[in-house]
Amino acid sequence: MRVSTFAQNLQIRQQVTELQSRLQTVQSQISTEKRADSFAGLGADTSRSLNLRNQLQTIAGYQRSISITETRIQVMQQGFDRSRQLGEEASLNVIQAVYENNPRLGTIRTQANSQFDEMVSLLNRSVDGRYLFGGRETGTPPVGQADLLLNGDPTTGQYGLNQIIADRRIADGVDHFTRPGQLSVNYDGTSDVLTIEDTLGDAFGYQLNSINAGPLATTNVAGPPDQLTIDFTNSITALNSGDTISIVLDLPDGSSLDISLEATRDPFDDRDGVFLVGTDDDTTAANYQVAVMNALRDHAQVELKAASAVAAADQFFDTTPPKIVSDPSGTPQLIDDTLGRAVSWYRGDLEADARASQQAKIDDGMVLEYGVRADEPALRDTLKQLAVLASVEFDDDADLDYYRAVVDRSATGLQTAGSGIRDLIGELGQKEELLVSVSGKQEAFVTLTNNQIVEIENVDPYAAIAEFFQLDTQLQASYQVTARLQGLSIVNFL
Amino acid sequence: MSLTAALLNSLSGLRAAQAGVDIVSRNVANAGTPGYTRKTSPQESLVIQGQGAGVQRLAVEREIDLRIQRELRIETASTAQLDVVAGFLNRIDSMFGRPEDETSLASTVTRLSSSFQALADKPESPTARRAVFDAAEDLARDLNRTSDSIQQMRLEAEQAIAEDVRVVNEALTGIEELNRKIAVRYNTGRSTADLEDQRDQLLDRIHERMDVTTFTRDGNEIVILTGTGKPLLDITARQLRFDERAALTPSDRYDTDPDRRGVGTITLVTDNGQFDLLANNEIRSGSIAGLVELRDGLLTDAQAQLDELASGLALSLSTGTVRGSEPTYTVPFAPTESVLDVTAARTPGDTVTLTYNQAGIQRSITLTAVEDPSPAPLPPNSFAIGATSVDTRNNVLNALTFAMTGAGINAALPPTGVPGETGITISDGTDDGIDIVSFDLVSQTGGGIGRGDLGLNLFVDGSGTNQQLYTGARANPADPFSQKEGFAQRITLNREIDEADLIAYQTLDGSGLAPDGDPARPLELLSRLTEGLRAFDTAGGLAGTSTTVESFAVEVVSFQANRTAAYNDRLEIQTAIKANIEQRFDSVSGVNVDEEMTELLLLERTYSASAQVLTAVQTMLDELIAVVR
Repeated sequence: MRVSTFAQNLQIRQQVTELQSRLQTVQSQISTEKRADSFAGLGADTSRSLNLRNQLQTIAGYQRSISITETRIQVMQQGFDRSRQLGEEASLNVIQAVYENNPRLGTIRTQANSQFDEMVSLLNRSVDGRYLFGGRETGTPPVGQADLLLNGDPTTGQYGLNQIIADRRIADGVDHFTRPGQLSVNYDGTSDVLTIEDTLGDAFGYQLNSINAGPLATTNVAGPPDQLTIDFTNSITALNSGDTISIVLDLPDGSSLDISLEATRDPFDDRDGVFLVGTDDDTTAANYQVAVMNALRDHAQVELKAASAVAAADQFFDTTPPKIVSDPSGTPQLIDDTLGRAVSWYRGDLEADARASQQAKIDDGMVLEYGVRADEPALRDTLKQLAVLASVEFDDDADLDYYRAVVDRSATGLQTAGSGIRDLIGELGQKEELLVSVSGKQEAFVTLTNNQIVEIENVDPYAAIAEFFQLDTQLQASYQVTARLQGLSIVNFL
Repeated sequence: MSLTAALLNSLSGLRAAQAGVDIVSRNVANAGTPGYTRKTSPQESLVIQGQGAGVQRLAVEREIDLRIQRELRIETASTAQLDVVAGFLNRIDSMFGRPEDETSLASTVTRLSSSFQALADKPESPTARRAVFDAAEDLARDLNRTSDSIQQMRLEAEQAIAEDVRVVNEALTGIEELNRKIAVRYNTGRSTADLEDQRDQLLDRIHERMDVTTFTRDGNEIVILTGTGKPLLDITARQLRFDERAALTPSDRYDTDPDRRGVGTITLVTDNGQFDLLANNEIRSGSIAGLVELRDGLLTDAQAQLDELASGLALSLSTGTVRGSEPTYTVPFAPTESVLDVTAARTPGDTVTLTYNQAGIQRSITLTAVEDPSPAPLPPNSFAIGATSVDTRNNVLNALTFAMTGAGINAALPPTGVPGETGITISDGTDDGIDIVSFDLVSQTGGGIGRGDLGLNLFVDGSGTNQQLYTGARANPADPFSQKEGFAQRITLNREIDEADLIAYQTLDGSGLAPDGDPARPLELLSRLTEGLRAFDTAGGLAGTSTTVESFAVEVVSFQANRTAAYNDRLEIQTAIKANIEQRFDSVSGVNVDEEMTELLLLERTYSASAQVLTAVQTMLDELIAVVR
């Protein structure tokens, strides 16, 4: 075939250009290890590459969320651990203090105060300036300042727990002489019937529960007003020494009290808790009346007073909403504190589902709910019992029975709360485990995905280098051939 | 007598050799000139009155294979077309960046969802909120920038068509002129070879730009026709006209109707008027065909895909539920009602749903918004979006009354509307076992309006004071384009929302706004982008599909990448084919220097031999004179 000089030159030029361009591509592949510098170079693999890279980016997001969540849950768990410890320490401490032979009463209050402080600060913990236990209200500390909670806020004039306890004490008739615990005891000489009446209804003081007067007839009238009656007719013959009249009373904190008085026919029996069967029914009833009044007054200073303080704390630490006692010394009523007369202890979120108040998306279609709020029973009760202990003045040895009544209640409350906290720790512990397992799976997936991306986007460096050498050889050969061809002209031989 | 004849013969030999050297020298000099065809001049024995009278050279001819030349021209046109298309497409591809840099639109969408993810972890953090806005703004800008570039490329294509048309017109005029010169020389028997070379070069210019057919007439004139036989040049050249546009927007499209056409078209001016070459698909290859394909097809496709993505993105976030007021049933039964404001119903696909209890079984009626199809009848269970919200309200009320009558509950729960207002009241006045449960509106654009609604109008159409809600609907049923058209170019961050709105939705109980630390809205928006399936329309060659916004973005980028790759491959193959034919052509028509040098040797020898004969004749004549003397 005939070959034109121009075509020959052009072809050599084209071939060399092609080789050079291929060489450049391979050279860039070797230095970047990438198959192509644009998506078109990946061709049909583009969508896989994009999807895999998107997945990596998404997982990186999940991993960030998981790590943030882990940190938060860890801080929360530390808080729970410490709260539980505080509760245990406090109950052990007070029980020892009031039940030892030589009670060390003076230390209780200071210790309870500092434990209450610490509990408040635990519930006000923040990570990254974000309060953990206020639900979705992350910008303000969920629990008020410890001092203001107990003593009220002098700048706003709002009550603290101490004032609520004091009001409640009046309303419960703790110190009332004629109507201890808001109960009145009257005897009708005509009918020989003794009536114990709840003068204030169900809200305050002792609540009448049941009565057992042995041989004597009784009634239990559900009011209002609630009444228990004992018919003393023929009591002088019916009552023997050792018979008891027992009244069961409910206290404001839900506990109950059994006032049992024993009849005696021995005028010299001076034991506590006995009444003398007199010469006729009226004196017997009168004796019983005096004895029961004394008992009511005595128990008012012990169990009722303790229960009243606990009930005041229940009121104060309620969230839906807190309650206060209006007109304690007149006609007391328990009302919602809608006007904010008392310092509010909890300022966080009140939405029903506490767990949902903090959420993290940790995997495709998987949202972890891990919010815990200060107003949950376990945490709130720990705080409440510590507050009760911190607000009682343990200083007078004479009140030891009252202190024991307080301590018994608080210690029980702390124990129940403590087991609630343990449940929380367990619940969050499971969530932590879930985080670890999800995160582990994602890490495995990331490795796999990275490998796939490398397969799609990267060149095999060995193959690339081999191609480079081959192109290099081809190009050198082309140059040599070009040079030879230039010499192969008839012009050189003429 | 014969000595003189010998003298003349030698002279003709000398002349012929000189002419031969002339051609050889031209051939050698042009050995490297593209488009130059080897010239030959055949020589024959000169015969005068039956007597041999030496040698003569005939007119110079070109050595050319017309069949290969035709093939080459077809391939040249195809190559030019693919070359221009691939060049533009590679620019789109390069806008998406390198795979490992994750700068493509698909990655930008994922970055927005990641920012929601991070915000859900720290809803109260100003930094996290800012990051969402930044990511959203980046995405909007990315869409704007890509769209702008695409429109810029369409404009460049428009300008390039104008330039190509100019070149074609010049070439046609040039060929007309050359045709005339060639005819004159041809008819006088002179060589037309060099003029034909020139004419071929002009013709090649036309072929690179558009496919034409040619044939040669008597007198070696050529006639140029379009692909379907419309004459471009027949003795006189006709001109192509292109009404170039100075600016292009996405809705500037090609249309055979001149009133609706927003781009330039190429017309052939004939005696009978103008003939639209594009409308009749006359130009099927060459760079003009490539440019038209880009301007009206490939680039519009890319724009349509971006618009679909932008539209899906905006609507997926802005979908929201507006709830009617809560009906309150009391015991004993007292009349109750639910009032729903339907102002937010403005996008086709919005739904109004009435749920009710009938004899203890829960049922519902759902009406879907459509564009006003009148005069065509409405599809069942639908209502037309009116020109004003009161119109829409009336349409909903009519459709609802009709549907409720069909369900037999119209009397029990009569729907009414206050004249001139946008609410509909469903009243339940009797204890008849038919009770309202809920009365809700799901709006594609009502995000954040209703109680407990987690949607958000993060993106809107247009910026600054021109900003308007994006619904994707036609403002008027008669409009050729919906709001979706070119939305990618205009999508912006809604300036009317601030960072707090990323968190603070209206609580379900209507008591106010969700607190600062509430992760609900970011989690919802995240799942709308990454998990919520949306129906995407068919857009620019990308088939309609139900997928997530994030996946659709991947589809768009990979579609473009695949398309570019396909064109690159075709170009590569086409270039090889063209190179092959070009070489075959050049092998026939090109100059081989060795061949010319050999020819030169021959001529040299002929020349010196003729000179030798001349010398011999002279010597003989001298001797003859000496003898006579």
